[in-house]
Amino acid sequence: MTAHTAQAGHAEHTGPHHVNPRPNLPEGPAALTKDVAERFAHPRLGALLVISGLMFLGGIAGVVMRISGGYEDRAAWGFYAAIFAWVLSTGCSAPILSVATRLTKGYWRKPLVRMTELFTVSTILLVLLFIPLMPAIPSVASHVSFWMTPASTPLEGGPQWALLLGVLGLMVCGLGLLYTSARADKAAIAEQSGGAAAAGGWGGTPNQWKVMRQGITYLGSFYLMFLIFVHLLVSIELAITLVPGWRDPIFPAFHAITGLQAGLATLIIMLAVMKRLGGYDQYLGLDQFWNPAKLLMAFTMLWFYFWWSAFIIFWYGRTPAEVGVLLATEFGPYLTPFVIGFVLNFVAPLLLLVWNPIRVSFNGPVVASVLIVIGNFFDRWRIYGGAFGVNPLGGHELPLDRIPMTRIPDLADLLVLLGALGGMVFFYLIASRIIPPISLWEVKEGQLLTRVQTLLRNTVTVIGKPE
Amino acid sequence: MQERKVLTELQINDRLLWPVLQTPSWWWPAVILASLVLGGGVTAVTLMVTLGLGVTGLNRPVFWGFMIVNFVFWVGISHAGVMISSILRLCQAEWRRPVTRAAEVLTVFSLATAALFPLIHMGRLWRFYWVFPYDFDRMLWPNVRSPLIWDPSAIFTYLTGASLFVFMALLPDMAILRDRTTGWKHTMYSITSLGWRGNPRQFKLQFILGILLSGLILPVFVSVHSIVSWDFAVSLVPAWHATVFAPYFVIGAVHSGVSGVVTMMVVLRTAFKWQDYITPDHFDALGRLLIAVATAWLYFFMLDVLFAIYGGETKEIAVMNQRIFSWPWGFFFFLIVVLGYIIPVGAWMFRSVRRNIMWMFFLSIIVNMSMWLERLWLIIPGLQNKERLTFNWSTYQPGIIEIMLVFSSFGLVCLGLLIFSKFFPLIPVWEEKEGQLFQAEIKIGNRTVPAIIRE
Repeated sequence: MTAHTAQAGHAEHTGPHHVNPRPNLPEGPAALTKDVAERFAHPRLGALLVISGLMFLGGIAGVVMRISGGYEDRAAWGFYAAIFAWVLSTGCSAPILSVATRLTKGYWRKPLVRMTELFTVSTILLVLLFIPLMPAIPSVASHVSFWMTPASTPLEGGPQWALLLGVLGLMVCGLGLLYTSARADKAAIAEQSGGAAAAGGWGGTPNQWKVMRQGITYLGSFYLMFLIFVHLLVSIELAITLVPGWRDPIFPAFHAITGLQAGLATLIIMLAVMKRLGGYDQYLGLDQFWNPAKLLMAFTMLWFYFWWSAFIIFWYGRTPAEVGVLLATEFGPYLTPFVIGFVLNFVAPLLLLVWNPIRVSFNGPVVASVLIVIGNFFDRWRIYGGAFGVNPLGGHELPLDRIPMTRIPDLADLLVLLGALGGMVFFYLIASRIIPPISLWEVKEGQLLTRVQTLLRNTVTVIGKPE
Repeated sequence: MQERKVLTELQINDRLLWPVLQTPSWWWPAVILASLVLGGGVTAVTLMVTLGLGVTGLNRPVFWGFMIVNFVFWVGISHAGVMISSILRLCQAEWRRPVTRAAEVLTVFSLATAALFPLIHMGRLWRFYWVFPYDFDRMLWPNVRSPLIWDPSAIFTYLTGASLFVFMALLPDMAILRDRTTGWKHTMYSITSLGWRGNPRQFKLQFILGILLSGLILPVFVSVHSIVSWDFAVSLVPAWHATVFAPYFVIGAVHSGVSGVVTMMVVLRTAFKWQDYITPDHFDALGRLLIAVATAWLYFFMLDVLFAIYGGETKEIAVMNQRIFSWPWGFFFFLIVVLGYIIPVGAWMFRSVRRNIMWMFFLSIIVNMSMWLERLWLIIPGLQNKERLTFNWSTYQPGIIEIMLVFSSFGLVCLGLLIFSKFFPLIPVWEEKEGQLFQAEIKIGNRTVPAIIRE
């Protein structure tokens, strides 16, 4: 109490002004809701919706072509598996920024969390992509398996069902998170348009707010855990177990970390789209690009760290098994995708982001993000293309004369790739027409908790920290 | 969380500088006790140098024992300073202010202690200079491809960086002490404060230096424990040759280092009566951080164990079998998981535990017990594996000399911290004052909310 009294004096001395820290935003809850409701489903995004929808349809055709080719030639599914892992690493990993910044209470998150959470709809695409892939995953009986079953014991379908449960769990948590965090905003928009019935029983009582906040925390935490679990299973069952002698405990962590890097990059690209085309220019300031860009730079360095930590052990070990793995996935037939991935995931983004004028800008992080999203695909291709090209032999080493050839993608592969990209955008834009892309309640909360004042001779921002 | 007691500059000076300007009653007994413990270690080293490495439990094939375990443990503890100081400084986390100095100083002393152990372990410490390419005439060059050469480079780079970090943050406080002391102490602070006057330009330069050092030291911090892990992992010893070792060692180091900071903060709060500065809020924040760090550590730990089994290679399975099912390694495995994760994280999930000082003290101690055992569990069984030649089969029983060395290392770190506390404040005075300036509050309706100021 004493502290409060004394602090109040201090605050008066420095002179707090109730100035809107974001002068371009409408002040007051009602005006803000009205503004977002008007921007909802911006017409300029309509063209993008149609194009991405057509790409998605093309992707469906590609999947049909791939399935009609059969499952005998497993190598033909390597590119498809890479696309599946790419969707997991980009769209499905993007919502983690929302989870992480909520847990760490980052104040700059407020205008962008919903745009982040909208990416949880990519998990639907992930499930759709996984179902045709299931028969391409070899049964545990034919090779050394993560499930530690002796090669003679058949465990047909074990990995497939575990993976399916994983991706379904990810989808349920993701959509649950999106629904929970958007309830209050849906109610606000519905009330504004006079349709209180559409509020879904949301009355904004203290208990509802409490349940909502706890729901967001728990669902977000479960989403993160499921995401790491799915990365673990995908990296093991679709890559490591297929290559004899590949014993690489860091690989699931590498897969997850690089996935988070690509997820963050995907989000930054979408923020740019929403800022330029979606009409949310004044909501997304420099803070919303600069802060993710700092994280992106950190993840870019982690990309190298995790890759190097594995590489140096194989390089020093030089056992036949390790040489085989390096040849199959990095320095053999997939050298070109590996080098492209290395440059686009690490060298180019680091050189860009380490430079202050680029990192502290709108366009710099977007350019680095585009490179990373492309680079991530090449990285996944060299991994899964190489792994699916190997015939599981049941042994502990990949004989050097059995290193697979490079598999050039055919028309079906390219259609699926375009379809996956289109599908992610299409699902996102559809979701953004149902749920407001701006988290109204959090932006309103931010307006309440932020002030601009003068301290000595400087203008500073004062951020309230009620928790 | 951001709410802190309002204190005047005079109160801050009085409270934080009193251990430097006066001598607490417990200080001399504590110094004597730490010196006695350290004396045991000096005696042990003298005996070992005189009689040879045979007085230890080291043998063929277990060439690395308690001394290397202790080396890895103290390098791990040293990760606290950078983790707390650099990352929180870069993130502008306000709650870092009372914590940073203690963490940085712990880094310096634990790293210096760690660096002693490979020297002692050599047996002939005077030959350490062989790792340097010092004499072109000898035409003897150290093997730069060996991690045993990378190690000293990494550790001394980190030690230099961490010392600079401490020194940079000490400048304003040394100037305050210069103005409050006389005689030789005044002369010493006058020299070491480098003419600090506290003008805006000096503060600006110090701020820029702090950010630069924070950014530069982070890669060094990660590389140090990675290189320590490669001492093991680039060999072909079963259960050591694992790609996950580098991040696994780093995250384990952060786990033990941050826990070490918690232990130290409880001691500082109690010994120096700094309840107004180190509050339950700080323990709450560290507890939440530790939940994330411990979970990441468990993830890497499980990856290491699972992949050792997954490959189905006979030697790997044999070592893992020994680690998990044989006495005492199986018991250690149980303790590592229970004390390093299940008990502490289970307890930290409760806010009341995170804000309870004694609980936090107890939990931080058991985490570090678990982390020390983990290093032992990682290093020894891999070397004890039974090679083809039966005369190479042996187990490891630590000698009394090694046990004395382990205890004395704690004495050395404690003695270093005690002496430091007599010359410099363990909570940065200028940062506390800055923190007071950066706190505010805003009124929303009829509620007053604590707030922080961001430039």
